[in-house]
Amino acid sequence: MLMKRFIHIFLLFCAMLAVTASCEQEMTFDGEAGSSDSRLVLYSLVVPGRPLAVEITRSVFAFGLHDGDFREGLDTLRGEVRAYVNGSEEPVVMEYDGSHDPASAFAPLKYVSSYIPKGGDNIRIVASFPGFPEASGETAVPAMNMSIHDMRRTDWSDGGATYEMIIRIMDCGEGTRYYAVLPYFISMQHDYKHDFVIENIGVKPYPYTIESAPSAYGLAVENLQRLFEIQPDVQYYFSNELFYGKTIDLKMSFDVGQNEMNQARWDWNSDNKDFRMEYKISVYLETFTESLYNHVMSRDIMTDVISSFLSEAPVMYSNVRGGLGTICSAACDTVNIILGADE
Amino acid sequence: MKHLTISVLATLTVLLASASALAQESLKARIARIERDFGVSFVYASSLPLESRQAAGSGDGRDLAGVLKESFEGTGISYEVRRKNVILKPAAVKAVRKHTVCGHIIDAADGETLIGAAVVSYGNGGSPVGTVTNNYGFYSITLPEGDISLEYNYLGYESTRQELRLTKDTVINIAFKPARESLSGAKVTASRSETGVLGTQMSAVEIPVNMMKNIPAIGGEVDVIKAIQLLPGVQSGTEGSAGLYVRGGGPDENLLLLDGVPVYNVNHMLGFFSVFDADAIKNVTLYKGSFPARFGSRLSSVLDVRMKDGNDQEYHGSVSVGLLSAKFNAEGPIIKGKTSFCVSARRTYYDVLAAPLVWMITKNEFGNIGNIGYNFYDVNAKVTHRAGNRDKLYFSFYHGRDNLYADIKESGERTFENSVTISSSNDMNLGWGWGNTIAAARWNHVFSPKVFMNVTGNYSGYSQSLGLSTSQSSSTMINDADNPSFSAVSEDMALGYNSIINDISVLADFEYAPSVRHDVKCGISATRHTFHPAVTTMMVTESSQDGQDKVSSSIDTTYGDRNLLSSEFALYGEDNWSVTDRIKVNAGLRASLYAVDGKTFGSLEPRVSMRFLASDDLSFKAAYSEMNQYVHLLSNSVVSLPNDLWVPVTSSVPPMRSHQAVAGASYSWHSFDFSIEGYYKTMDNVLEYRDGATFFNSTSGWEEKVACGRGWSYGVELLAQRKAGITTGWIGYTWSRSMRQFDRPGNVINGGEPFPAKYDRRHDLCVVVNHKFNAKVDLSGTFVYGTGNCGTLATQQIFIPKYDDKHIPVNFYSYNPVSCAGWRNNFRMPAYHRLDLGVNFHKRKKTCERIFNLSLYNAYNHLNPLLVYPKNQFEYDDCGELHGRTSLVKLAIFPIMPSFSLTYKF
Repeated sequence: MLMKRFIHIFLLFCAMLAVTASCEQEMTFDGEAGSSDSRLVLYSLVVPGRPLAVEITRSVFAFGLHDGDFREGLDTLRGEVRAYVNGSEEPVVMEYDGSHDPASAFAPLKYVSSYIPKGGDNIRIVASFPGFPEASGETAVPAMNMSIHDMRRTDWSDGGATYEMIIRIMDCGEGTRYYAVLPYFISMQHDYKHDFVIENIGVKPYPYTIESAPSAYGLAVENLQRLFEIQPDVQYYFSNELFYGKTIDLKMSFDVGQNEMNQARWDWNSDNKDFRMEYKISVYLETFTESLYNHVMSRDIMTDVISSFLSEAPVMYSNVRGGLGTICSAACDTVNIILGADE
Repeated sequence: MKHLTISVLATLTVLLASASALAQESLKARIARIERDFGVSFVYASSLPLESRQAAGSGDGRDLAGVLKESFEGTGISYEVRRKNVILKPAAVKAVRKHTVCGHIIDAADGETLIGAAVVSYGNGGSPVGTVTNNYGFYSITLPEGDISLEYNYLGYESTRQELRLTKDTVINIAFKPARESLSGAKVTASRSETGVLGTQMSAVEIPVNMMKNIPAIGGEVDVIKAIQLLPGVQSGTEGSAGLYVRGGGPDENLLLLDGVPVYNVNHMLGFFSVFDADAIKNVTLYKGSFPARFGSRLSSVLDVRMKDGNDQEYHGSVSVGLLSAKFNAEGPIIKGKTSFCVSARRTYYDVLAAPLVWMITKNEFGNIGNIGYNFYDVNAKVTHRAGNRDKLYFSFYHGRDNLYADIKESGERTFENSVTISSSNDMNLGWGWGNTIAAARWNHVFSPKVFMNVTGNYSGYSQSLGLSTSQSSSTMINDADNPSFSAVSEDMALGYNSIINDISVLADFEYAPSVRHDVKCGISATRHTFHPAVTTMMVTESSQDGQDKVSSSIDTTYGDRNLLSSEFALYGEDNWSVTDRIKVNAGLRASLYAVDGKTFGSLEPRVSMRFLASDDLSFKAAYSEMNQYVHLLSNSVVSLPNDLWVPVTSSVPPMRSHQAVAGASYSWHSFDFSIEGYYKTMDNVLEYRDGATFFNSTSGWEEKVACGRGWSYGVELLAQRKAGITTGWIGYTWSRSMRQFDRPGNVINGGEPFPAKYDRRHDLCVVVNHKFNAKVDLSGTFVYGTGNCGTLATQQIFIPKYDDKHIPVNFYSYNPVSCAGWRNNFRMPAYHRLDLGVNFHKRKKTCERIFNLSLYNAYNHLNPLLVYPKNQFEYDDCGELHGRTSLVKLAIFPIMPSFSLTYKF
């Protein structure tokens, strides 16, 4: 009798489970994670010597129909984009350049101005479009404070050579600043004997051959690893944390093999035209703001992340108030070393 | 006549007055008289109270010595005769001799030592003083010589009083009898242990094991961790998980001790159950703050779980069968009164019940079958031996394991009309196991009534291993008489993943009670940690045969994190000091050293707590403590997976440190205890996975996947509990906030801005009620409500620029939008709430007691989400055009879940 009662109860429980078990349920998004309203997205990279420009789209709510045009509702006639330089109350008006592809739902709207920023400028960009909250962001444009201080070549007996250069960085001590030193592998310059038709072929980052990382005069040896630990293997970025407000010299060296040295420069004629091939190593020097660094890092993560609920969801960096995007700036310079040329 | 009467009355009056005057003669007057009568001079300091003190006796003797002795008796003034001078001085305070009373307190029914039993002394002219038994049931109290009255109290037992005249060190062992409960009013005295009104300890909660066993649970599986999660200040993480998030701390910041041995992974079945078997447990205490100096190595909490010693008088046990598991428990004497054992075991049989269903699913046309299943088991064993009056030995052991397995075999052969025979086979074998093994040997020794020692040697190991092997082969045979041929290919792959952590420790703890006002504890410990974070082995063998030609190749490789050895040393001292009758202070200091990988980390951790007793029922407390932690747990933040890795600190991942200040009050009224506490806690060097990081592929370079930052949390906790009576339980409410910030260079998360911690919950309410209707039926209920957990949810899609090889974004936009979140943990899950009900039906038989339990988990079927994730769907609009749509979906795993179990106790 007791066992019979147990069985009845057990069957009743199983029936209850079968009826009531329902484990997946659609939710209503209540806006706690941030508004579902679309916002302006501004991206602007300010570089000294380049005209000021900003590219604008709008965000699309992630939960809903996928047909959102990333330009939808951005009325180019009624939208207004202004730039304020160094706190000036008079804005620099930025005009729409009409360059977007009407057929594409993805191409941004580009606004440009005639103002040419220079190092030390403080630029604030404000975008106002009907139906969207006003979005603004600002950046302090860095001045180029990196230079090749010294360079020498040591020839090998077999025809190759070792190039050593010292890169001087004079940090201004105005907040966190990032630097990049990027030597590029042999790039070939296809030159109609100074007619300046240049075509770069085969550009890629050049690995350091003598030392695993540039040594730094003025820094303790044990700090070298820390200097480059941000992106040690890929992008040679480093911050001014260890030499804030100081001047340091970076020593960089790399080998060039016999073949590259022998072919460093040669001329030929074809179809009655003169050509010159030159091998060179380009050293790209860049100083940029923390906002650009954060943007690059979060973008890398966004594109590399394993899309899974088991991984930490990435947060796209933004320094635009009232909107999304990044207003950032960088100063850069390139030093070319023509292989085989007399110094 | 009239005149005579008046004369007699007057004479009597004068005589009475004279007598009175004589009786009230001051010392000063007496001295003057003695100087007159004996011709001596008194020499004394003017500060002596001669005017106010009364001389004793009449002072009429003829002998100077006798008169002096009589006059100064009991006056507190001493005298010394030197020739013709009598020198007066204040009498020296007579030293009061003290003696120590010590002993063990046990349960009379089964011989189990009782932890935290109160011993209070009344009498001998002083205020009541007391102490409590330690983790081994030993107490020691030093009292002044004389008549004393000792009262012994413990929850659920009848109080005992011992009256004695204390003249020497005395041993009093007490055997408590269970209290007789009356439905009209229980005769149970709630204990006033160190965690109550009288104690200095705050932020500590003891849960009676019997109350814990009545709390309704998932599948009817009573669980210690689930009960702890119902306390204020403790979050449970995700639905069903066994993680503890105490006052804003992470799941790795809790020191979980089983008989004093740390347990690294307490999770069965991905965290739905814990390794603690309630049938084997005697006592559970949770410390959330105000940590005694004897505890260290973790930031946020200490869960001290003590196993039963075993009944040294009679044999008892229980067998329980439920929906998910079967349990067995037995205890009894090996040598009656001296040696006892306690054994318990538990195993789930979900895999056995599901086997027929699995067989049906995996059967195919060729009749092949597979085998898929999951189970876990626990074994607890303990032997206790009393080797004389001063020594006791313990040996305890725990082993538990989870096993997930899958074994699929497929093979087939087919012959075609053209005499071609093709055969193939595919075998897949998966085995994933994880579990803990703990062993401890302990020796208690009573050096003297004042000094108690405990020496322990223990081992704790956690391992998990994943093995996957596949074997595929196919062959083609052409049975042509003129041109027979045979070809075959095969590939065998074996993948192994192992992760192990082992600890070997030696500890010595001393307790010294030098006086009634001091209770000193000190100790030293040394631990050797061995980490094998993750080792992966892979073997692949390929071979092919075509006729007589055979070709084969193989890969055999091992990679993973290197083994790490580390050593940890700790030294501590603390004193529970009764400064006055109302003020008690527990002050301690813990010093620790951690050596790993050629580096040494050290710390000093002050601990202090103070209690002010406003009345017998009301006290105010405050405490401050610093804690250090030298190990981290890298875990998935969604569910607790067995490949969560414990890793030690390194040069780039420094030790975690916390500072916690707590203030509050405790009030006791009848059998109710109330407490309110406010806390503020900071945590340094906490770890979080970086954006986009995943614990998968954590075989190497785990340090690069995590960022180091800080956290802080604060809140208020309210607790009202009743531990005695026919209705018991508690109500706990917490208001709290927990934040994180990672803004150090190279360790930036969320742009360096503060963000809510994953388990930041603003409100948390728990109500637990047990009601005993009669001896046959009792009902229990639990209601929990909490603000939802945080998570990072991508709510907007945008374009982001791409850049050339110079990493300068010159061509801003890629043509694939990305979903992104505004900030880390920007989304809050819906509020969590749930009601659980349970009822026990008791039936006592001649030789046993039968308990039938029915329970209903999530009684009103509220689907609390385990996860929230986006789901892409497609739908047609009114014009017939197909559109994609993303919706937000929550996944719940525990709807209403009835269960039952049947237990026989003998």
